[in-house]
Amino acid sequence: MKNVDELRGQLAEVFAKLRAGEMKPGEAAELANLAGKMIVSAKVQVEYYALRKEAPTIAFLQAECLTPPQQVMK
Amino acid sequence: MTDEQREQKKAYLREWYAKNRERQIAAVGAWQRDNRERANANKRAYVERDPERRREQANRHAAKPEVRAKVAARPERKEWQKARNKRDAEMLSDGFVRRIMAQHTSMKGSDLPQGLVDAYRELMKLKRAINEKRG
Repeated sequence: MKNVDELRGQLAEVFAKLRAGEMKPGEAAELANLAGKMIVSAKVQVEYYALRKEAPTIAFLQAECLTPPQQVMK
Repeated sequence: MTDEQREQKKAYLREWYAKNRERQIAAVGAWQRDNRERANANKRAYVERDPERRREQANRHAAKPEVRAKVAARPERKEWQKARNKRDAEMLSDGFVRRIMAQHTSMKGSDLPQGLVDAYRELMKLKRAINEKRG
């Protein structure tokens, strides 16, 4: 898994397997826990650079950095 | 300018404003309506310059009896907001996910990259499904 898009794809896969009964909730929970850690660590990295007022390319988020940011609907 | 002159000028301006307050507010309002983009940019710059002061102003405004009465007179709006929040939470809307992610951080939800938000949404969906299966 190289970037956040792949992580999202894998999560969607786990979700589908869980819904279909091909995966136990305990196993899915372990994967969800691990994915949560990855997302939080990326978020901390984003926050760190925001506080330092820097905008380097974060490899894990690079795939989506190539596209312009979407407009936030509130 | 001496201190005395400064005080005199302040007093004069206060008096002038008291006399012309309504006219001044109307003129500013008219300018804002005619120059909506510049007015919005000015407002945004003001909020960015001092968000704490803006928040205090908003709280002071909300605490005014006439504002509270106005809000109380429209319970349907509160209901509508409740329904919208519930819908956002159920649908995992962008704003909702961003708000959750930005909790306990120094960032705003809008600072987060879209890819990360999408991944977190998927994670929330998965966690909900796990809890549902576990009952």
